[in-house]
Amino acid sequence: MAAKKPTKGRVENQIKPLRKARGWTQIDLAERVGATRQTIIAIEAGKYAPSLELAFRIALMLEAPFEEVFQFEP
Amino acid sequence: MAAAEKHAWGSLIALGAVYWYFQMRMLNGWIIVDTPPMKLLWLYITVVVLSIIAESIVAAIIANKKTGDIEKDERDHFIESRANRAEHIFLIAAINIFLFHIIADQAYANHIFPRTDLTNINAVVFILFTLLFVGEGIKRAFTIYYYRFDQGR
Repeated sequence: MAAKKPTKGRVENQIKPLRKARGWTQIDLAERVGATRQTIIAIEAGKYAPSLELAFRIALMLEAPFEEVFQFEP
Repeated sequence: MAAAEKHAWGSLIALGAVYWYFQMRMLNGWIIVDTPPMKLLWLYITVVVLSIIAESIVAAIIANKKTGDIEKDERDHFIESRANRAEHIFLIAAINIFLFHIIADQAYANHIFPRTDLTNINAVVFILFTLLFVGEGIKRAFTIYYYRFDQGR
């Protein structure tokens, strides 16, 4: 029997509170992870799901476990 | 607004202006005018040069003053690749429709659709140039659409 095709999930994140806790602006975080401010805005708003590499960079810069920064809702 | 989105807006307006210049010299109302080959060649060169100049001016205005480049990251490249795909699909479809039309044009003598006179170089130049401009326009329009409404979550 063929496996059921998974529906598109949703990637949630806690970047905004973690970023604010460090006193960083969106530009500060963008410069640290090598992205543009617009991309950070889009990620925080849940409009763009970052690549695995950028997601790891963000978690690394925020010094938080990956699963604390990003959550996946299937 | 992302630098790449500003570039798409600027480029769309600039390409529209260059296409306006082109069609003003090729059309009289909805009729393609007969242009002598030498004049057509110079029109082609002028339109290509104008497109390059317009694109360069837009890029120079939007580029980062320190690096001289338009700032792009993975999201910009992702959106650009999706817009490129839209342009690619349009061009493949348009060329296939054009091919089908010219073959069917010869196969069926009494069809009701507009005829394409391939012996008239003006018509061929106008159609192919229009396809290129519309393809570029679609790419820019889809870039703007993706930035505004669908960023690929």
